[in-house]
Amino acid sequence: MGSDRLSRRELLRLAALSAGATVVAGRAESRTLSSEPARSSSEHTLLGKNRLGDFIALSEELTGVKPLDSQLAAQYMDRYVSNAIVGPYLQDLLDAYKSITLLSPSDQADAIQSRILDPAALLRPAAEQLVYLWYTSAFAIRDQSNPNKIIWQYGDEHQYNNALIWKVNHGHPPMTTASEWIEAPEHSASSYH
Amino acid sequence: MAIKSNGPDFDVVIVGSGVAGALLAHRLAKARLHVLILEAGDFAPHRGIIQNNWVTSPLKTADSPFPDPIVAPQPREATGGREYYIENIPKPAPGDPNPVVPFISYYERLVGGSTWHWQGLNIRMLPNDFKLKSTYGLEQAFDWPISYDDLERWYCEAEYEMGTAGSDADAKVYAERFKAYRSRPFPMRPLAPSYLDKWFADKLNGKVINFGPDFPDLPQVSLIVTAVPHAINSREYDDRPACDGRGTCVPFCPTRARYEASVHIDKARAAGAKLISKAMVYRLEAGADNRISRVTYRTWDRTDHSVSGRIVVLAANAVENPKILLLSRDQQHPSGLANGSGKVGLYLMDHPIKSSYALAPEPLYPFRGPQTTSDIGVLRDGDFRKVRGAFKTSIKNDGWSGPTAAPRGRGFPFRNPDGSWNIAVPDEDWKPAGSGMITEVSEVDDVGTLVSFVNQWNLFGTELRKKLEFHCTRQITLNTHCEMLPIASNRVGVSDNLTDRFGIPRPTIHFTVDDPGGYTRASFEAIIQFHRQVFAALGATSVHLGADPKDKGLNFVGAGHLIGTTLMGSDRTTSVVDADCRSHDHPNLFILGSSVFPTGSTANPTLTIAAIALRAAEKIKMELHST
Repeated sequence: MGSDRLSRRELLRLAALSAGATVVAGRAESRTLSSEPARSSSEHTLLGKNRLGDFIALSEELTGVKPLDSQLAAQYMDRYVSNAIVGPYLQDLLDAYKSITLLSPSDQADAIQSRILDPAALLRPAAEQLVYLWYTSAFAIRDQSNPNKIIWQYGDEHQYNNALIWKVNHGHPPMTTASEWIEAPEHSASSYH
Repeated sequence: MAIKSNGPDFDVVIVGSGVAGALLAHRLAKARLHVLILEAGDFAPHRGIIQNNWVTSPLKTADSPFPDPIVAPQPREATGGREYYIENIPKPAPGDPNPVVPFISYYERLVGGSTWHWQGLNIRMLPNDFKLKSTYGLEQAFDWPISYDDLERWYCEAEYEMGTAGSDADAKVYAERFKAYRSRPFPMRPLAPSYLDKWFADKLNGKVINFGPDFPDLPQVSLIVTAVPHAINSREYDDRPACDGRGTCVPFCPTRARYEASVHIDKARAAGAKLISKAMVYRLEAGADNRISRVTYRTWDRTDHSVSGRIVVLAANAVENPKILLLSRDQQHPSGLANGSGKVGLYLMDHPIKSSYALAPEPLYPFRGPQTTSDIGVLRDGDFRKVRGAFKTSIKNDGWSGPTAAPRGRGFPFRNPDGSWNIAVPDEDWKPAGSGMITEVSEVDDVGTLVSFVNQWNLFGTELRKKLEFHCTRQITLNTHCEMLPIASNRVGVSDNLTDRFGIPRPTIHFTVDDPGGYTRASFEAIIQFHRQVFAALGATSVHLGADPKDKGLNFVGAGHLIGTTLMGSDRTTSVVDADCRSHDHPNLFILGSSVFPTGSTANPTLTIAAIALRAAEKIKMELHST
C-alpha cells in the first residue's frame, strides 16, 4: 500500500467525518435526510450483490446482533456508499474486512481489533458509523461548527422503526409505534443470550 | 408598510391560540359572541408530516416536529433561543453564585401553541401556593388576589374540558396533606403506572426520608408515590383515543390521546369563531377613554392590518404578552400599555429542574409508555417554604434520555487536558448553566449511551450489545422541579434595533435563577439530598447527583414553563391585571396565560392557565351580554 493511498485515507479520516451538517442559526435543524435509492434490495445495490455479504457479515460482527435483515442491509449499504461524508470509507472498510476473513480463524479476532477497531486505526471511524447506523438508523456526523456535537442523519421511518436499539432495550420506536408499559416485556429475558 | 382596510369589529379579539385562547374562544363562541382569534403562526400540517419531521430530525428536541415554515419567529432549542431571545450574558464573575444565565425555556408559535409539545401533566396548584407571602412571611413573594376556593370550580371545568386522567384516591392524599380538596372526581381513571413506577412504589411507599442536620427546616417525610394527573386519555374521551404508549408526549402525540389546544380551536371555529393564522399582533392602541381601540397585526406577506374588539384579550405567553404591551407605547403611555405600574415584563419565572440519575439493581424496562406516570409530591408544601422553594419529583419512564440523551447519545466525548473524559459540548466562549449535560465522565457506566460505549469505551459486537441491554433496562431518572421567587430584575423587554424576519422587534431577556436570599439554591440543595436518599432506598448504583458547587452558578434545566411578566394583583401600583385578569389601566383589555401568575408554585402551569381562562370567559360573557 503506497504512501499516496495512506495520505488519501488519512485525509479522509481527518476531514470526512468532521465535515457534517451544521445547525443553521434561525432554523430549527438542518435536516440531512439521506435517502437510499428507491430500489435498494438484496438483489440491487450500488456496490453489487457480492459486497452485500461482506457488509452483512461485518455488521453482525460489529453490532453483536445476528442475523441481520438482508433487505435492510441493502438499504443501509446504499445509504452508506451514497453519503458524501461517510461514503468514501466503505470500500476500504469492506476490503479490509474481506482480507481479514481470509486469515485463519484464530487470527481474525486480533486482526479486526488491530486493523478496524483499534482507536488509532484509520478505519475505526467507518466502523463506528456502521454500528450507529444499525443501532439507530442514523449516521453520527460531527457538527462542523462544533466537533464534539453530533448531527444525526436519519433515513426513513421504516429504518427508524427497525433500529436495533429498540430491540436491545426491550422498548419500542418512540412515536411511531404503541407500547405496553404496565408489566415487564413479554420477552424480558435477553433474546440474545 | 401600508395599512389595509380594517376588518369588521368583533365582540372579542383574542391574541393567541394556545390553551387559554382556545378555551376562551370556545366558551365565547358558544355564547354566540362574535370572536376573532389572531394567531402568529400557521396551522399545523397533517399529523403524519409532523411525525415524519420528528423521525427524520437530527436533534429530536421538543420543537423538532415544528420547523420554521410552520411557526412564527420563536426561540429555537437547537440554538438556545439565540436567534430570537436577545440576552446579554456576561461571563460569570469568580464566586458569583447567581450569575445572569440564558433563559432556556421555549415555546411554539403556531395554531394550538405550545400544547403541541407539552407533556400533558395536568396538575392543580395547592391552597398555600396562592398565599405564599402571607403564609410563610416571604417578603419577596406575592399573594394571589384569588384563592384555591375561587378557582376550584374552574379547575374541575378545565379538567373535564381537556379530559383529565387522575386518581381520586391519590387526590385524597393531597386533600389531607395540603387541603387541596376536589368537588368533582376526575373524568377518568389515571394512566396506569408503569412497571418501573410499581417497583418504585414498592420500595418507597412509607419510607421515611431524613434530610439530616444540614436541613433543620425540613421534616422527616414519609414518601408516597402517586399517579400524576394527565390531560391524556386513559379511555376514549371527547372523540379522542386512549393512550397507547407512544412515549413521546413531548414533543408530539400522534394519536391525539394527549389534549392539545387545537381541540378547542376546532370547536370554537365550529361554533362560529374566526381564526386568522400567520397574523402577528405587535401593537395595541388605546383611545382617549383608555379603552383598547385597535389591534394591529402583521401577516406573513408583511402587510399590516388592524381590527377592533369590544374586548381584547392577550393570550400569548409570558414573553409575547409583555412584548406586545411594550411595543404599544405612545405619547400617553411612554412605558407601553397596561403599564401604569411599570411592572410589565418583570418577574419572569420558570420551574428550574434538577435531574439525578442512576442504575436500578434489576431491570425495570424504561423507554416504554408515557414519559412520566407517577411522581412524589410530598414536599410541594410545608413550613420549609420560609427558607427554600417547594418541589415535586417526577419518576421518569424514559431512562436517561433527559440527562444524557440515552439510548442514542448527544455528543462525542473528548479528553480534558488532564486526560479525563468529558462529554460536554464546549460552547464558543462559555458553557451556560442548564445544558442538562454532565461534564465529566470517568466510568464506562457514566453516560449510558451508544456513542459513549462505542466511541469512548471501545465496545463492539456482543460486548456492546450486552452492555446496551444491561443499561437500557436499568436506567432511572428523578426529575425535580421547584418554585422560584418572583425577582423584579428577571424581565422581558423589547429590542430597540433588532427585529425578527418580519421586522417586528425581538424580545430581550434578563434572567438569573436564584434570588439574593438564595431561595432556589436552598431548594436545589434539598432536592439533591432528596435524590440521594431516594436512590439509597432503591439500592441504586452508578448514582449521578446534579449537585451544585457552593460558590458557582446553579445548573438546571428549563421546564418550558414561562411564568410571570404581567402579574395579577389587587394593587394597581404593583401589578398589571386584577383578579379577573382585566388590565388595571384599560377596562376592555384582559390578559391570560401564566404571565399573570404572581408566583410559580410547583404545579405545571397549564391546568391553572385553563382554569383562569374559563373563569375569565364567564366574566367576559356576562359583561358583553349585559351590555
